[in-house]
Amino acid sequence: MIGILVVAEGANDKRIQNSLIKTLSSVLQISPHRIVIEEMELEDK
Amino acid sequence: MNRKRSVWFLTLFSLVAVVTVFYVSDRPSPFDGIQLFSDDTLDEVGLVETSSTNEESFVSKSNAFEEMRMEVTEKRSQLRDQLTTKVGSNEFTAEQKDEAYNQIEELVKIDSTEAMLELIIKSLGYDDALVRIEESDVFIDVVSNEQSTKKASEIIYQVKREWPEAYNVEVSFDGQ
Repeated sequence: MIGILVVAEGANDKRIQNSLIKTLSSVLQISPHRIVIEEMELEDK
Repeated sequence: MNRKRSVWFLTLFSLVAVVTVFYVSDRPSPFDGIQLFSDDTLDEVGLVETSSTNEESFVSKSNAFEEMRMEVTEKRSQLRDQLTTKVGSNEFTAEQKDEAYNQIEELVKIDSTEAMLELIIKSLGYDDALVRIEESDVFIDVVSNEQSTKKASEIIYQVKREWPEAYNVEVSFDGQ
């Protein structure tokens, strides 16, 4: 596994990004810098 | 019949007397309903801003802290990755590997100390705190409206207790 990309709706909040990175890096045994979080932009906004 | 009439007369007369005295004394009423809703009172009463703006700026401050935390985590995790490959590869001598291993251990120690210090500072009554340890320097940002040397030295004391290698401790208060 080289890296992970996560697209999430609430990811414009940095605290959510951070907690996602922390959780994923512990669960999947991967370094935090290999995880990228992007915000999902909703079309009907 | 006559007595009944005189009682009525007395009652009405006393009522009229009371009302007359009330009007004649002509003192301003303590409660003026119409005055209360006129435009003048609107000018007199200043609108007070609630704390909603404060909260917003706290969130943005906290977000900035979170961003810095992520930056530091990323840097460290890259470094740890490099060190781990160094320990695992065959191209380095035993001494170099040992050094790399010690560095990893140091990183883990710094990480947990930073988290610990943030918790301790928060327990002193601050909304959020960011602690960065760089060798013998410790940089601390705290979200707080008031700043005083007493509060700063309180924080510095806690830091030195938890991280004895702290040589230079800087505390900065970020107002909301």
